[in-house]
Parts: sequence; structure tokens; C-alpha cells
Amino acid sequence: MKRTFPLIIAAVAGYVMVVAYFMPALQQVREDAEEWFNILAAIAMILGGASILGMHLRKVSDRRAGWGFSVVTLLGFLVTLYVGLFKVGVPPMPEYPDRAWTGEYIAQGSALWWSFEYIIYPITATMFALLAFYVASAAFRAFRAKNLEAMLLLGTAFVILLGRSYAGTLLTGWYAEEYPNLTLPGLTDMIMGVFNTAGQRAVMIGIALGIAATSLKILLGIDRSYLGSRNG
Amino acid sequence: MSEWLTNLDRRWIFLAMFLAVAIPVLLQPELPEQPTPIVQAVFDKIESLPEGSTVLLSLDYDPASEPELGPMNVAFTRHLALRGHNLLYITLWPTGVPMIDDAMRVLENEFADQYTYGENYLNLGYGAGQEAAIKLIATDLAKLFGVDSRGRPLGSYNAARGIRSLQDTDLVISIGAGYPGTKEWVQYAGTPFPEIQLVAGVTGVSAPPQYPYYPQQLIGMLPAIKGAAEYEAALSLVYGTAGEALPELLNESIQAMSTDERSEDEIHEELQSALGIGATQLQSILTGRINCLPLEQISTIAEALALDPMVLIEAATEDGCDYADGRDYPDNYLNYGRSEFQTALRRMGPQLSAHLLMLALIVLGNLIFFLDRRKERRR
Amino acid sequence: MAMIGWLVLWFSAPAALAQDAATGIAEEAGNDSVEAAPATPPAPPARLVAEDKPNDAGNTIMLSWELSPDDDITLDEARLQGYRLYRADVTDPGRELEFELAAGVRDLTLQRDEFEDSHRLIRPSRSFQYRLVAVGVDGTESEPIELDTPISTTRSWFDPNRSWFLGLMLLISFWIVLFIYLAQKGVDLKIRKIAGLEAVDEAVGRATEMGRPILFVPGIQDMNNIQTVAGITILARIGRTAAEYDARIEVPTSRSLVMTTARETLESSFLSAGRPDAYHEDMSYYVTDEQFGYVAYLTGYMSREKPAACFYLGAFFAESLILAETGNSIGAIQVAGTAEPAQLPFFVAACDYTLIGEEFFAASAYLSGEPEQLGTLKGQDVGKIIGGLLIIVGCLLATAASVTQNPQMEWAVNYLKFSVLGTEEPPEELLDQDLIEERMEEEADGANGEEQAFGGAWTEGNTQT
Repeated sequence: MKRTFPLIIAAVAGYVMVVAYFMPALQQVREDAEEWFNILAAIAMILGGASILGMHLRKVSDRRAGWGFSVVTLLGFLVTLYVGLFKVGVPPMPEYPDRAWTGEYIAQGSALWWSFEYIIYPITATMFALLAFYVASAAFRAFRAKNLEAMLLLGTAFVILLGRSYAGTLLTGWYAEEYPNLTLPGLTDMIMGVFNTAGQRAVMIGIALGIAATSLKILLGIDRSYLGSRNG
Repeated sequence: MSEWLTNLDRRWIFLAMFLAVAIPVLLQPELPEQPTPIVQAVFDKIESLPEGSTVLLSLDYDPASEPELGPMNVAFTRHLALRGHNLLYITLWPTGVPMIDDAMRVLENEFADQYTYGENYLNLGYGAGQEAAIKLIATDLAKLFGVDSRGRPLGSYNAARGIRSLQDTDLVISIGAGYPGTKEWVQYAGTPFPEIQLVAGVTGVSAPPQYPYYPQQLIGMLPAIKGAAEYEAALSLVYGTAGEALPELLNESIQAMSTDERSEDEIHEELQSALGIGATQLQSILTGRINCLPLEQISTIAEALALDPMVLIEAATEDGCDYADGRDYPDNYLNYGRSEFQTALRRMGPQLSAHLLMLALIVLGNLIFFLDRRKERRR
Repeated sequence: MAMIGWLVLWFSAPAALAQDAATGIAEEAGNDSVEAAPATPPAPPARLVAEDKPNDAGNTIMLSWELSPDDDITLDEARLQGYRLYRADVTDPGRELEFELAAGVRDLTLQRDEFEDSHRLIRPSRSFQYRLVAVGVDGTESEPIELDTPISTTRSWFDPNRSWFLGLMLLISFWIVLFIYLAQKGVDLKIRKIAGLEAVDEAVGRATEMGRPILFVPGIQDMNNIQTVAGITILARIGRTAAEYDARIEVPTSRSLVMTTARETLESSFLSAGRPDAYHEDMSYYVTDEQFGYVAYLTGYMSREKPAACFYLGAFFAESLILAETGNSIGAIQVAGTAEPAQLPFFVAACDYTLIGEEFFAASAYLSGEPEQLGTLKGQDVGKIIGGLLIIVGCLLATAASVTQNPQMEWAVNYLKFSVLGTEEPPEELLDQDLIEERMEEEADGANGEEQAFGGAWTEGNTQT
């Protein structure tokens, strides 16, 4: 029963979504199903919050290695939750100056805005910027001209890296008037527009069919591994 | 040496990358760009819209991608405002709300005279639901954005007049860093509703999968920071005036007029009161930040400095301003050819050196690979 | 020279300007006096027609009308602000007619002669009367016009624009189901080896030998993304192997719903491996929804705990390379799988094995080794053949149409593009033979002129380069 019931829910919801796509009369049912997902995800947020709290509180109480960081995490979590929920420092809307809580939760000057602007903003930008370092080390390590395919890939990388920067204009700009398509930026555009597009489309078609087959397996109940069944 | 290179500590590479980016950031080299057709198509589309068209901008990115996509947001906002279009801003990312504020700041600082909130632009804030949100507003905007970020109903603003769904807008610009982003806009808005015209700006990483959509489903696209830089270049070709003739002439005249009794500062103050502007704006004029002045200001300046207005007009025309056929300029017509307005172009220097370093690393990596292989063969 | 002349005029203009201003003031005063007099209502629009929108749930009414004679853009001065549309529910004959605003002048601006009303009140069982007025600049409304007869909508049970799509879907599904059936009957289905999946046991084994944990990352999307589902199905298998080998597995997630699903999956996997005692809830836990916050946690975890095997199976974006490179630096054996084409190169460069696109979706079937599941893979191949055939037919038709300039060919291309492969009502002008013919003739006539324009643009483009 524990397996059958979720299976029925998944199948019914799935079939409704498929059928409703072709039947305008069922459009509302489809929209409702989509909304149900959002509601479930929102409820699951509470479970997520509980998971964070439980895990880090245990870590602190057991004095496990690095428990100090858990204290920081817990403080950060609770403070953000508090200032966001209670709109700390949010100025009221100009139309209702004497009503607190009318302003936008992330209005400029509020505590949540402040934490966003001066903590999340720089931290996430830094994390993303780390990518530059990892790309460099991956380029050094992985781009080896081991065989013909790898050499072709290497050649393409050279053209794109040069064509996508000022170096392309600098090196081949002098004959751009006569042969615009043979300049590095021109070749880059051609590689991206022709070879890359062709490859991307092929991959996309494969993926789309894969998605269709996976969906069908789940709808027909053939693949129950997401429920942890034996056939996984 | 070969041994050392084979087992090279990654941190050396990190250091090299740090220097390759940091040095050009500090030196700020100016590298010219030429718009490629895919970028020019976006620029031409916005140029071709009749004044007062309504454009919806969906800023679907977060602070992490801001350095790459922020310049596109700013360049689009400037261009659209220069063309006098109505702007509606939304974001499908909860962390994208501050990105709309960036655009608002551009409008408030550079177009305060022509653009007022509600009349010409609106911040509709965050819309939850990812691709479902796009599907929803493609047929009914009010279902998701019934009120703006200030909580007022959409219908009470002139900027959204007659806009009931995406299909009523003249252009939709998607600036996206991932999911939901440009792909979803193409799949759920542009393709099922051909009347929705779509252009995009995307990060370098997510650009290749979007190329198949150009030019059918996407009119044009700004791929990565290079695309933004090309767009800025296109903008400065049309809206930038590179010359320094007018500011030079003004500064020379002020210098010539100044005496012991009447210092340059005093002349500046006189000019400010005659023009009815503040010190910052006068400074902008004298440094060429604003160098196409309205004719009324030119005649006032000419009178105050005892110059022939035609001489000033000629100097401004030399700088690239155009007063023919009754054309005049607003008093804050900024010179978009100046590097302070070209964030993306300024970032092309670090990008160039980072690319060159990558190429060098690939070559070095292969060199080591071949040396090692030769050694193995000898053994 | 013309410019100088104009400028001279401008500088000598103040007097004229002053005069203009004075006239303006006088005119405004004049307007005031007009307003004071009783306002004349504007001319009404004509012929209000309503239609039920086809192929919908019966919740939209399409209205159109002829513009008011006062709505004329060639007039010097606007006489109208726009139109107002009122709607009344007339289903119950006994009830008093109550009109309410359906759309005001903000929506129905000048020159607007149609409107789609999809108010929530509009349902198939009810009928409505509409009333339309033109609104003058001073706010006075014209005489109203109404529909000849009230309109009611019908719910449509099938959208014919999607029939081709339905056909293609059923065709591919038929092949998939057929192969499942054949597999159940014992027909031998050959599937090529997928190295990345062969490596799963090896990776788990290695982690066990080294006494280090296994890290499983199910991507950064929620359970409504099929990639996350595909990742979780593989987790079921990895979880079972880990339970059998008694290896430690950790599944940090970036969505709460994924965490709960992963817990369920792991619990069942441990149960089916006969090790329910070894399972505990903390194997899967929620970290944060924030993309780079999650990445920071994962890379930190990798550097501290040094897992021996890392699996990245799900939807990944900019974080892919950061994760894979960090995993590489700690010497972990790495298996990745995603259907995000942009991230595949990064995984290929930095991981030991990568499941590319459809391989990732095939993984669950492959790992299970069950004939029914393998049958779906064969069905997918038929889908590819159908796709390939459509591409070839489309290319041939489009080439033939452009070479021969034959309207029938053009029609066939458009039919394939918009009717067979499209899901919305195709634009009429693209599927009407006569209109296509007309357009082609026009294009042929304008070809010379266009060529010149193109040449001009080309030269200009080159000058800029």
C-alpha cells in the first residue's frame, strides 16, 4: 500500500497533465495540478528548515568538529528568517505612512535588503567568479591533443577563445573588409551558428525523446525506482 | 622542469589567472569592439520600434551573474529610454529583484526629466512559478502581475496602458542566466505566440544552447559580456559623440575671461545661475560628459561668455551633435561614447588577457603531454 | 547650409515664440469656455459582434466592432479617449440587467477594434450581453451599441491544432509500449555498454575500500524537473549498492522536496538490500535553495571529507565545473550525468565518466537490466528514426520550395512547420494557397529593389568594420 498509493497519485496526475494538454476543457485541472506542486514545495520548505535546524543543533550539542560554524549557520538562518518574516526596517508605503508592514519585504534600507546587498550579493558573485580559476585549471589539465577528435576540439577552442575577445579583431581585422567570414570573429560565429547549432539540436532531440520515454515509464509504473522499489 | 610542470600545483594557475584579470582591471585598457550581426539585430530592432512602444524586460539573473549580465541590463535600459519607449520590468528569479533596482537607478539618474515612474516605466517585481509564470502572462499579465512592486493595480499606471498580456507588448527582452531564462521564454512565449517578439541577453556558459533559436525564435541575442560590449559599441556609434571641441572651447573662453577680480570659479557660478543648473551639471558640460546642449542653453552660455552662438554650435557639431532639421537635445543628453558608460567594454581587457592565458595554458599542457609521451616511448 | 538657416531662424524666434505662447493661452481659455458649455457626446462605434473563442475551455469571448467616426487619426485634435465595454450576465431572464465594466479606456485605446474578454465569470453555462460606448476627451459617453443577441460559449473537448502532435506522441508511445511487450515476451534486446554506468559499482567499491564516503548530488532543481527524477532513480541503485557494501553515502540537496524524496528512496534501497538498520534520515539533508550557497557547501564538504566517489546526476548550471574540478583535485572517482547541454563539456573535461543527455535518462533502465525498461530504450530509437525522417523530409521540401518557387511546395513546407510540428493555430496567410502565390509574386516583383537595398546595407556594414 505504501508503494501503490504514491504510484497511483503519480500516474493520475501525469495522465491528467497529458490529456489536459489536448483538451481545453480540462485546462483548469491542469493549472490546479501545477499549483498543487507549488503548495507541496512550499510545505516541504518547512521540512527543509527543520532539517537544517536539527542537523546543526545536533552538531552543536555533540560538540562535533567544526560545531562553531554550525552556530554561525544557525544564527544566520534565524536572523534572516526573523528580519524577512517581520519586515524589520521596512518603511511603510507612502500611501499608508502610519501602517507598518505595508512596504515591500525587500524595500531599500530594510534589514533583509541590507543583508542581500552587502552579504549575499558579494558572496555569490565571488563564488561564481571562482569559475574563472577552475576553467583555467581544467583547460591546463584536460585539453590534450590525444587523437584527431581532440585536435579538432583544440583547434575550435583556439578559434573561439581568440574570436570572442579583442585578439580576434586585432589579428584578423585587416582583411575583414574583403573576407569578413574568414576573420576569427566571423569563424567563431560560423562555428557557433552552424556546427554548434547542429550538435545542440541533435543532443536536444535525444534528450526530448529520453524525457518522453522516462515519463512514460513512470506513468506506466514500469520504473518505480524513484519510490525505492526493488527494480531500481 | 618537466617534472615540476607535470605535477604543477593548481595554485600557480590560480595565481596566474588572478594576475591576468587583476592587471587589466587596474590598467583599464580601451579596446574597440564591432557589433556582430547577432548583436546588431537586437540594436536595430529597438531602433526600429516607434517611439512610445512598450517593452517588457525580464531580468532573470542573480548577483552571481550580475557582472556579466548587469551591463546588458543597463545598456538596454539606456537605449530604450533614449528611444522614448515604455518599460516594464519583471523578474522570474526571487533573487533578481535588486537587478530591477539597478535599471531603476539608471532611469532616475540619467533620464529623470523624461522618465517618471508609472508614466513611462514600472517595476512589476518578482513573479513566481518559473515557466508556468511565462505561460500565464503570455495570455494575461494581470494574473501574475496584477499590481506593481508598490502594490498598486497595474491599470492605474499609464506605462501599462493597453497591455493585457505579453502579446500586447512590442518587444520582450529576456536577460537570463539559467532556469528559468531565455530558453523558457522562447519555448513558452516566443514560439507558441508568434506575435511576441523576443530578443535576449545570456551568459557565456548558456549561450551555445540558445544559438539554434536565432534568428527564427530570437530576433537577436547578446552572448556573454562580449555581446554586451558590442552593444555598448553600437550604442556609442549612434548616441555617443566622441569629440572634445565644445568643452575645450568653453574652458578656453572661461580661462580667457578670468581676471584677478573675476576668478574662474566666479564665472562658473555666474554660468550656473544663468543656466539655472547645479555645479555637477556644469562640470558635466565642461568635461564633455554632456556635450550636446539644448539650443536654449547654448544661447545662454554664448551670452554669458560673450561668444557667437554659431561658434558654439559649430564646435558641438564637430563633436558629432546634430542640430539639423529642427533637432534639439534635452539638457541631460549624456555622451554615451564615454568609457564611464561602457562597463562591458571596460571588462573586455580582463577578458582578453584571461583568454590568452587559457590558450597559453592549453599549449603548455600539450607540451608537457608530448614531452611525457616521448619519454615513455624512449623507455 | 540649411541647418545654418534654420538656426538663424531659431535664434531670431523668441518674438514669434512669445506670440505662439500667447495664442496658446488664448486657445486654452477658449477650450475652457467650450467645456463650460454642455458637452456633445461623441459618435458611437458600430456593429458590435461577439464570437466564442474556438478551442478553449469556454472561458473567452472575442468581441470586435467598427471604430467610431470620431476615432480618426487624421483629425487635428483627438475627440476620443477610447472605448468602454460593459458586460451583463443575462442567463436568468427574470433578473434585472446589470452591466459592469469589462474593459475601460486604458485597455480599449483609440484605433482598437477588438477585445478578448476572459473574465472569470465567463463560463460555458452562462450567456452575456455586451454594451460598447466611445468615450470623448471630456469623459462623455456616446450612445451605447449592443450585441444583436446575447452570446454564450461552449467548452471544447479537443484542440484540433494539436491533433498532429497527439498523433506523433501516440506513434512514439506505441513503439515504446510495443518494445516493452516484446521484451516481456523474451525477445532479446541488445543495448550498447555505457561506460559511466558500468563504473557505478567500481566507484562504490572503491569508496568502501578507502573507508571514505560517497557524495551524491541530485542537481539544483526541484522534483518537477525530470532530470531530478532521473537522478533519484539512479540514486536508488547507488544507495542499494552502498548498503550492500556497507559504504557511507551522503545526499545534500538544494530543495526540500528533493530531500524528502531522496530519504524515501534511500530508505527503500537499504531495505531492499536487507540493511534497514544501516539507514538513517541524516543521509539526505537540505542545505539551501541558493545556487552558490549550495556550491559553497558542497565544495567545502569535498575538501574536508574527501569523498572517494562523487556522483553529479541531475540538472546543473554554472556550478558544474566548480564541483567537478574540486572533485578532481581531491582525487575522487567522478560520474556525472545531465541533460543541460551547456554543462556537458565541463563534466566531460573534469569527470571520469559522463552520461550525455539521453544516456542519463537511459541509466535507470540500463542499471535495472529489466527487459521492460530496456524496451523503452528501443522505443526511443524508433522516435529518433521518426525525427530523422521528418528532418530529411523538411530539408528536402524547404530546398525544393526555395529552388522551384512553387506555391504548392511552399504550402507543404508551411504545413509541415506550423500544422504538423506546431501546436497553436497556424497563421492563415501561410496556409492559404492563393495568399502564398500572391506573396511570392510580390517578392519576385520587389526582388530587384531589394537586391539594391541589400547591396547598400552590405557596403555600409563593411565600412563599419
